[in-house]
Amino acid sequence: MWAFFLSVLLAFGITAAGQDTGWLNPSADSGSFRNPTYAYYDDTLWASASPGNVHVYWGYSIAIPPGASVTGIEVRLDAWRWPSGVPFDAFLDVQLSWDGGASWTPRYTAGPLAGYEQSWILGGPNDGWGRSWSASDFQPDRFRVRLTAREGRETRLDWVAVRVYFSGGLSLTLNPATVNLGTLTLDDYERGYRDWDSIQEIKLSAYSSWTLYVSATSSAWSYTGDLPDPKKPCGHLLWKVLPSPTGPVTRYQANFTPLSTSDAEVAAGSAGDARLFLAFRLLVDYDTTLPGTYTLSFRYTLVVP
Amino acid sequence: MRSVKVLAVLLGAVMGVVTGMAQTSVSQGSTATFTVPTLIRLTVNTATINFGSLTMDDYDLGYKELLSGQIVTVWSNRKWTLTVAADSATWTGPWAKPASDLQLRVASVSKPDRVDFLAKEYFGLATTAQNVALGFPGGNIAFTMDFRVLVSWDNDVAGDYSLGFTYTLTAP
Repeated sequence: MWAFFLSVLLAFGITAAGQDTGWLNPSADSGSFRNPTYAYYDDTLWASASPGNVHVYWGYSIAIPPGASVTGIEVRLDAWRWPSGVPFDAFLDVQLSWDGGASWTPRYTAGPLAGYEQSWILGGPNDGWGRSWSASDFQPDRFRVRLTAREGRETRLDWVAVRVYFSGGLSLTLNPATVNLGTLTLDDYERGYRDWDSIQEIKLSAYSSWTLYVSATSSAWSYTGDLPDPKKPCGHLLWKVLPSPTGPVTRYQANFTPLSTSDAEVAAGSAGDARLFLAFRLLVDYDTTLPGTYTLSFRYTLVVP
Repeated sequence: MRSVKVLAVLLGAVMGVVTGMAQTSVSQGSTATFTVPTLIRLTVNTATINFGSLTMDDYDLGYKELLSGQIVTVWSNRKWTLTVAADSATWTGPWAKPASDLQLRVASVSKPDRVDFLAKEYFGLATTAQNVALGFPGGNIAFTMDFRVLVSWDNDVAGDYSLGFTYTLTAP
């Protein structure tokens, strides 16, 4: 019941502080569940188990930043009992392994399962399932999830996902990673540019003083269209950090700066979690902005000396 | 610094994290994208060209001229063609005065570097489109137009005459 209560809390958007990996899918399994690979993804397919069946899932791509501390682990089970009308309780016990299945944590339980699909989230942002974890514990062949079906007639499992919470370390998150600047108009040509405020959020965490850089991966935008490539320079995309970034930011670039293939400093700060919002400006002219679609890749690099 | 970046390229796809000898870094790729449709705009500063009342001097001269009678402005983000055509083969009025009796030419253009062809000489209107100018992508390209209406003692009896004509901007 505790797990179900937690899942309801999460459904209303209450999340823990710190960072997490997001929900991750398994990629390997063994055991006695039927159609076990159907539980790899959140989709319309499901694995099924009879009481007493045991199955192990692993192959989660869990990346813990260097220097980070793992604070908690969540396992999400999208599961239900079948047939739904049968009044028998059914449960799924969950244990975690950090050494490829040689050792296991105490079990957590999802259940009694409803007669319809429900998300059960076991563990939490500050729940280590009875132990302390290191980054190496999450190597894809070492970290494993063992499920045991108990009672009822049949248990169905749509998804067995894992989310790991961590703090500190060195991490960098972009939201969004792909920035869609939309469709230009003649007014943009007349103005000579178009601005977007708060178009991209950068969340970073560093265990020491840090510097964030950005650079374009090519000197010109990639062009798709029916005209000769105008080779729009990457410098036609300008960026700046909006005022009042949060966290330990000691300096930041507050003026529009053309993107180039050389690293340019975006911001710098001291240890901790920081959040920056960027504004973009696109230069628009009749010579290099011909009808078509344009794409430019660039890269942020967070460096700790 | 340089050596760390090289490592980042090699290993970033696998781990996204690189540890160098002297420093640690993490990288994230990002992409910006935008779309540009074909955009064109055509404006005229006045829709009516009024020659006013003709005089005997106009008849003797064979025409009446209206210099800088209209400014046509175009915007286009791809190569463009500006044409003009009469809405009908004849003027409305006391007799079937042919549309070709209205002549026009481009007197000047504000951005000559954006223009590949200009109709610098007078030509008579027809119901088929005729080129006024062709050009390259650009905006606020203004054409100042001169007009002439041909008149003759033999045909142009007294009365009111009017002829509609239409400019068309095309960016194929």
